[in-house]
Amino acid sequence: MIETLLEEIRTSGTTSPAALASRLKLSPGLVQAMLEDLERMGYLQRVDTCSDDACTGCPFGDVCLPGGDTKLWVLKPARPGQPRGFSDK
Amino acid sequence: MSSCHPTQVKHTHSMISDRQTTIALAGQPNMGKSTLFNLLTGLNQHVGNWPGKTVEYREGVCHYQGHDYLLVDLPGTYSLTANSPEEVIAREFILHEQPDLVIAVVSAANLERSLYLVSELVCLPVPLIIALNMMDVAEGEGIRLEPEVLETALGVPVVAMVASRAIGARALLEKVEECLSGGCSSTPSRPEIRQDHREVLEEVTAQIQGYVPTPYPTDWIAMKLLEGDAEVSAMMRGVLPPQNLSALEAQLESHDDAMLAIASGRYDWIGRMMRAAVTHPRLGQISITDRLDRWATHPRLGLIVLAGILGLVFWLTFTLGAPVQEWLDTHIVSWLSGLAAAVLSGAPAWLNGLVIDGVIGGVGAILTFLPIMVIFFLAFGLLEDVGYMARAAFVMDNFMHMMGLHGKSFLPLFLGFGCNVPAVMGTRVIDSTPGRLLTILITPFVPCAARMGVVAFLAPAFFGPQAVLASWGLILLSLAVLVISGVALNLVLFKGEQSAFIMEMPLYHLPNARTIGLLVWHRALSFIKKAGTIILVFSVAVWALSYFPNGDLHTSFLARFGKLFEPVGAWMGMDWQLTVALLTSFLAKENAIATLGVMFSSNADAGLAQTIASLYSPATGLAFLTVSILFIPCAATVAVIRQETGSWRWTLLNIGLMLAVSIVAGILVYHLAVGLGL
Repeated sequence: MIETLLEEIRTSGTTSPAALASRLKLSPGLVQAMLEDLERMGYLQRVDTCSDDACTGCPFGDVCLPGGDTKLWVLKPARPGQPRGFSDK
Repeated sequence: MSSCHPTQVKHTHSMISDRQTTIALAGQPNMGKSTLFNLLTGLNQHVGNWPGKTVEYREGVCHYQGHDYLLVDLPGTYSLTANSPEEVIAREFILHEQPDLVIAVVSAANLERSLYLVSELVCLPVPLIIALNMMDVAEGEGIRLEPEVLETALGVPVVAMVASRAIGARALLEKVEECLSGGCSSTPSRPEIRQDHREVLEEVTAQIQGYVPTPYPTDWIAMKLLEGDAEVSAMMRGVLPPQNLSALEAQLESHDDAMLAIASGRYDWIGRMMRAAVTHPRLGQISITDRLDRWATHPRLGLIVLAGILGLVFWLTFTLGAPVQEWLDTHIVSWLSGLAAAVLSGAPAWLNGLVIDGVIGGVGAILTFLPIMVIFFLAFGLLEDVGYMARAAFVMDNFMHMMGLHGKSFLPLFLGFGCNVPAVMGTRVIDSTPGRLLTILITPFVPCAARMGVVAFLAPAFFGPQAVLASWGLILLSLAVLVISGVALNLVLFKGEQSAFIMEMPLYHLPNARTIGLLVWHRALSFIKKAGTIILVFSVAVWALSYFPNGDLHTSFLARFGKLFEPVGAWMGMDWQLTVALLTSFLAKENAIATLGVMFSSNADAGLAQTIASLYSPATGLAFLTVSILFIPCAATVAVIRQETGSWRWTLLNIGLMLAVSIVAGILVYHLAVGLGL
């Protein structure tokens, strides 16, 4: 199920959890959980651009998208690599 | 039913030193675990820290039917993999302290998410009860589920409850009694690793067999090794003999996607549980948000909606703001000029010029801008607050993908509508250097609020009732230029590389007047402050250049400077004054208006916009606005491009690219407009 989601993300380009849930006929909650899991596993990367002072000069900095409750992920270009930890000698 | 007594926290490694009957409460955050803990133990629990950690530890005693149970509230965790200290604490407690029972608190309203933790708990050697909490919330959301069926599917006891109203607490404690006295039948259904990885799981298990320290189950350790669990991996590196260790390393290296196979097994298991227990999924799935998003986020319709909304914003700006701006321009600024002339009638000519042309002409022109900017900020603030701007970004990115642009580039481009400075800084999200450079190069083509304000100020003067159409067309033109430049550069630098982007959009909601009011207020104050500082100094400087050496604008230093570039301006129907206004917009985009204000403020009978409209044809006006919206970035953006690229070469390339594109577009637009008889 989660690999189907990952494949759908790879082929979708830009998409949303709701669209993914609709296309895969899954509940939005489950898709949300899988996205967060993929993030933990290193397949997706959470994007946050306004963590520094970049938006200070922007007229819409106060209400802008990255500062709100919108979550953004990007698909990492390659698989996260071998399981974390074991080869850390 | 139950009562509570505070107990002492034992700050030793072994949390339960004297074997009191111990029950651990496990659950993901926000599932009502703390509510249940408070309900069962009362408010006098003891709170401390887990040994050696900053994570909060809570325990309390629950009395029920003459028995005392020590309840330990485990940290809220999404899983039991060592992603966080909380997850390590929770699983180490269960494995090392071996509580008599674990109660997993799950939310009936969010069952699929809650069950992920359960899918890990059922793999641990500990008796388990599921507290199916928030049944009322699930019912309110139209979700119907059958706890008995879930119990059968899971193979562990399930008790439905509403902890916030103490509903089901007695049944839970009865079930606890029953299980502790050995009366529960518990044969948990466990998730399995995906079929294609079962062999490697067996191989890993074989490599570690006999070396796994107590109390860890061997099959659990094998799964965690395949998941890449850092703590378990470190532990096993310390106990395995070299030959097993190298064999294991080779197996894990050749199955680097095993964590996905394990997660896949867990989600398949969750799917089976959901299909068994949930008889009626969430109602109202086609919400207002979903209905609106069918249009707003549609790849093609969404672009039409976006274009329509941009047009509407300009229509509102011109309908409401332009008359006020015109009134301020022709009445207040002209009146102030007249008043200053009267007061300074005996003063030297240069002082008259400084006050009337420099200060009132420059700063006054900018301040008449304020109503337009207020409406602009109000409109975009409203769109952001109701949740639309996230959709605009979404369809823009879809559009970018259709044109072959990099998915990650969309966010900086979106930020550029507010201000190009954070947009260029926002390119830090892009990992690849060519991708980042490409995005930096095209970001200044996004029309920022200041440039849109310049268009909004001058368009009514040049185009009258057609101002909305002209402004709308100019914005779309700049976006089209952005896309064409992006596609061209992408083919060279990116080689057509694409990346996926997932965006969780907020629900649409009613706007908050306070949020928007504060936004408009802060931005208006900031705008006035800018007019009173940077633009005032700049206006005085421009005035000085336009006055000296002999008090005549047409032979001034400014005119000499402008005439150097006049031949280029002439290709677009512009004289040296419009050319100078464009050049001065390099310092700040609003300066184009201030410069025009300084140069044309001598005409006290008409406002600036009227004066300009009477001097230039619509074709020249259109060319001027085209170049304005595509012109080289402002000084602050150039500085940040230099900072982010670390190279003057790329900075100058950006300036050169925008200069060339704006001039070519200006020439084309001018000749096309002349050809159309404008």
